[in-house]
Amino acid sequence: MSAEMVVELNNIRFTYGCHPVLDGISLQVAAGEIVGITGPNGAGKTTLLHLIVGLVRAQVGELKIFGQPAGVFKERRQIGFVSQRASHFNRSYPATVYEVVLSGRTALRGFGRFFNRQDRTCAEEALARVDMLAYKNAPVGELSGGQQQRVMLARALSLRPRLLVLDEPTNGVDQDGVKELSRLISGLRDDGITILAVSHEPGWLAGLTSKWVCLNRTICSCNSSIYPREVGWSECLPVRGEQFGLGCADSPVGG
Amino acid sequence: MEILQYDFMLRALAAGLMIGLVCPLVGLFVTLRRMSMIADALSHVCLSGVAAGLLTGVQPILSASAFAMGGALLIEALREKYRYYAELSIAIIMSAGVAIAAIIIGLGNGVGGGLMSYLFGSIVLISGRDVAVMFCIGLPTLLVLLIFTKEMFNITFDEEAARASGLPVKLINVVFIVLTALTIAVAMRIVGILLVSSLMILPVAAAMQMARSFMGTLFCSVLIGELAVIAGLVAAFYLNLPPGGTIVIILVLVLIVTLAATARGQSADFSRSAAGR
Repeated sequence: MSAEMVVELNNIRFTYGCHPVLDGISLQVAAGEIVGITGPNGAGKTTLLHLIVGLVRAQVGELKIFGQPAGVFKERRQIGFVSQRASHFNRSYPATVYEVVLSGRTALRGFGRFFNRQDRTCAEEALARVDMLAYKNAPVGELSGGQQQRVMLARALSLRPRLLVLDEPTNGVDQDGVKELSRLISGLRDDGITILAVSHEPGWLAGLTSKWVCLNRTICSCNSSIYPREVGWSECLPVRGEQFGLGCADSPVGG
Repeated sequence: MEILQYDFMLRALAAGLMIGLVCPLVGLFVTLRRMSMIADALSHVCLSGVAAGLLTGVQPILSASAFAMGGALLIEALREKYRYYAELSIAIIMSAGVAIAAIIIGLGNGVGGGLMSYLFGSIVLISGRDVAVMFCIGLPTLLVLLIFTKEMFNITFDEEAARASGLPVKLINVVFIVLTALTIAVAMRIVGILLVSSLMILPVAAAMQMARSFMGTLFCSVLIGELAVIAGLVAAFYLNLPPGGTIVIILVLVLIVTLAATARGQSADFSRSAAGR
């Protein structure tokens, strides 16, 4: 029996005004996979994640989440998202770790309803999961970069998602923090959570990814669990053609 | 107590308790969204609303509410247009508000004289009708704010993740800016148009020095707001001072004390950690 498809992109094209950002993107992510996405600045990595979490809509192509077309997919709670902004949030924001994690469940409750016991349990479980339960009542701005990133991860996990989408989660995190993050991702994989992570850092996902996707407006390479730079696909990373799609040695490859 | 024997003081205290509650609540989210200047811009729009009300005979708090809501929605629309220069929208609406007020005052009919009590606030001129209008606008504003508290927290912390989770962020932002406009219109009668933004921002600035959590900051902001309004009204009554200025000076003193206490606490922590090395 084939694995359930969590994300399916078919010939996606996305433009900001007249500026093409993504074109001809085809990719499939099966349940339980960890997919690393890399590429040069401005390659469209974050935009690709934004398409998947529903922040933007593609002008052309088909996107399915858990088998449903993105336009009709309503079960947003199945997706946990750690945005790039999460790594440089307002450090003086007056909130405790617990309040931040609990806020991840806001959309589940609805307007005018207080968080209930289940929400509190999920938030505490998520904190325990990232080894941050001891810091529950600490102001979030007083934590180190690595600890803050774990709190953001817990915030996403408080939804008990089946798909976790991480945008540059190692930004501003020191080496020990990155190692810890890597250990956590490994544990989440063992629990069957599908993970999509944009990253410039290959090391922290070493041995964990089922494939690396190299993106430069279009998918330059795919289908290897080894970071592209290590297998001679470097032409994809620094080069960005004057014309759309130039600079990609390989033709777009679907997952 | 002598102060409670006067009807005008009872009306001022009732209205004061309302704005002491609503202003810091709105101010907390205005601050967390880093939009402190929006309160100033909308209060200037209120100025033209009050002038229009005085000219046409409409209850000035109602006309100011309508103008402020219009200004708020225009700011939101302009923020979309000038996405990377969002502060331009505030400057544009602020200028337009003052310009319209200047024209209406220029039309005469004694508008300028009546406007003075709205500029700096007044205790004795608050009528029973003013208090009724303030409660009719203030209570629903408070209710909607409480309904949206956890959503506003989520949006101010990480708007991108909030949108991804399915929250109607755009709608909530519009509702919030309208609430901000209504709060300013309600509060201006006591604190005055020129000082209303202080009642929204200063309690929050002081509370952020004291509290370690969001709920703590929220409660401290409201507590400081209420105490400052009551103390300010009482002091204004006995010392024959303008209420708006008195309330704001009390808030500034509270802020100075909290800043000094925090600096002292940090200095003591530093000394302890240095001695421990």
